[in-house]
Amino acid sequence: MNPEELTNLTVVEAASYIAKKTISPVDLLDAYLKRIERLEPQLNAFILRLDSYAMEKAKTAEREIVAGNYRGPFHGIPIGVKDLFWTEGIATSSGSILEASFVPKEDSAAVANFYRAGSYCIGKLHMSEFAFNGTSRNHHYGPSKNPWDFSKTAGGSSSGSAISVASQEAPIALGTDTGGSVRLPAALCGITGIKPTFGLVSRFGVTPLSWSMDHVGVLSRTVHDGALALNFLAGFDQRDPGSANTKKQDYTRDLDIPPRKLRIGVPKDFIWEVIDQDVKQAFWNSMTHMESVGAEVKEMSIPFLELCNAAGSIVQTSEAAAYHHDNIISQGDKYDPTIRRRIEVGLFISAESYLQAQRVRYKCIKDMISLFEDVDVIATPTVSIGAPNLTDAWVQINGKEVTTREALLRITRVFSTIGFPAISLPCGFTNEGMPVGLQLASRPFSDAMLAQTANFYQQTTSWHTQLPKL
Amino acid sequence: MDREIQIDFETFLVLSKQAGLDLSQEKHLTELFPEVQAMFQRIRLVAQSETTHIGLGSMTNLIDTEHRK
Repeated sequence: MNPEELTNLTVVEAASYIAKKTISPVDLLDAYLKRIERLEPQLNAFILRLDSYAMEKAKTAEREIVAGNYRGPFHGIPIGVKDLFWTEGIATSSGSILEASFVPKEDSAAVANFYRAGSYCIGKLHMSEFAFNGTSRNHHYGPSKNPWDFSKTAGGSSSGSAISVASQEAPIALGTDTGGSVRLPAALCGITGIKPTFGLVSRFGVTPLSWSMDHVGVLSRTVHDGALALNFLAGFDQRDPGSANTKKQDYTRDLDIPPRKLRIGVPKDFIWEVIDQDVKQAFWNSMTHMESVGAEVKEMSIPFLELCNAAGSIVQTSEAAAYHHDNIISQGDKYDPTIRRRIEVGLFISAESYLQAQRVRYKCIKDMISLFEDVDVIATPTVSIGAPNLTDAWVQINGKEVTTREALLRITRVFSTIGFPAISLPCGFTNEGMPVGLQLASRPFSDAMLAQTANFYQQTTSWHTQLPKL
Repeated sequence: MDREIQIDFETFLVLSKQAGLDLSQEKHLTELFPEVQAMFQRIRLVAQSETTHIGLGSMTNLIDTEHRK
C-alpha cells in the first residue's frame, strides 16, 4: 500500500491488516508523519509533535507483533491526544501558556488504557485554551483550520482532534466534551464524535473545565472505530469521583445488527429557533432516510431545552471559575482575554444560583429520561450552522444575529448538561460545501445501542466516507 | 452576589472589587460587564423554575445513582 492508501484506512481496517502482518506499524506511522509534515503548515492541528517518540513506539509494536505478541486491534495504531490529557514525561499545555511547561508524572487513564492496548501517542493536539471555547481559535498557539476550508473554524474545544482525523493526520483521537467539545468539532469537520454517558470513561489525568460536566470522548472516521475505542476506555476508575461502576461490555458486538422498530424523536422546540436552512435541510433529509430504512420518526415536545442549556452554562461557568480562581485573580493577563472574561463571569454566580442550576439539571434529567419511554433515540442537528469564518464573533441566521458561541453550542450543551450519551455523525453539506452533523442521543448507559443506531445510519449512507481533498 | 439578578455598572464594579478583580483595568471590565449581564439573564431563567421538592445528594453521581438500569 502507498502512504495515501495507508492513511485512508479506518482503525478497523488498519488493525485487520496489522493482525495479518500485511502492513507494518512502522510503515503506517511513517505515512501519517509524512502527511503531518505536508499539512501542518496549513492546519496547525498539533501543539506538540512527537515524531521520534512515536517512531520508537511503532518499532516496539512491530517487534512485539512479529514475535507473536499481538495485543489486539489498537496494537501498532497511533492515536492523537488532545493536549489536556496527561502524558507521562510529555508536556501537557491545556492550550495555555500558564501550563506550557507542565510535564505530568503519569498518564491520564484514557491514554494509559490506549497504551495498554498497544497504541501510542502521535502528538498532542490543538485545543481552545482550557477547553473553554467552541471555536478553533487559540490566543497562544494560533488558530487551527478547518480542513474543508482553511478560512473556517474547525470548532472546539477538541479542534486538533477533529482536524487530525478529518485530514488523515491521525486515525483516531481523544477529546473532551463539556458543552459539546467532541461533537461540535466532529460535526464541523465531517467526522464522527462520541460523547459517552457521564461517568463511563474515566477523567483521571484530564485538566478539568467543569467537574460535573466534563466527559472524555472519541473522534474517529466511523462509529465502528469509536465503539472499538470505547471497549478500551470504558470502565470504573476510583481516581475519578464521577466514575460509574458499570459492567464491562463489548460496544462493537451488536454494531452490525440493524436496530429493530427504531423510534426516533425530534424536538419541536428550541432547536429550530436558531437554525441555518442548509443544516435544517440536511437534518430532515437524514430523517427521511431513516424512515426509508424502517425507523419511525416523530416530533415531540421537549419544552425544557432552553432551561437545561441555561443551567448547564451556569454550572460550567461556576465550576470553571472555582478551578481557575487563584490564577485568574493573580495572572489574568496570561489568559486569552475572551477566555479570561468567560471564567471571570463565574465569580459573579452565587452558591445559591449554582445550586438552583444543579437542581434544574436534576429535574431536566428526570424529565428527559421519561421521554425515552416513547422513543429510543432523540435526533437533532449537532450544530445550528455550518462552520463559520475563523474570525466571526457573530453570525446571521435567518436575519437574526447571534453570537458564534451560542450558534455553535446551544444544541450540544443540553446533552452535556444531563450527561446522556450523544454521537455526532456527518449527514450532508451546506451550500458552501461545509459538513453538517446529525446528533443522536439516548438514555444513560445505552451507549452500545446508540452506537448500533449510529452505525446503522453509516452503513446505509456514505456521508462519513467523504473527506476533504488535501 | 446575584440575588438581585439585574445589576447596573456601578453595582457591577462593587461586585468586581469584592471578587478580587483589578478595578484599574477599565477596558477589561467594560467588556466583562455585558457578559455578566448575559449570565444574569440565564440565572433569572433558572431561578424561575420550580424546584421545591428537588434535593441534592452528590452531583457527580447524579446520573449513576438515579438512572443507571
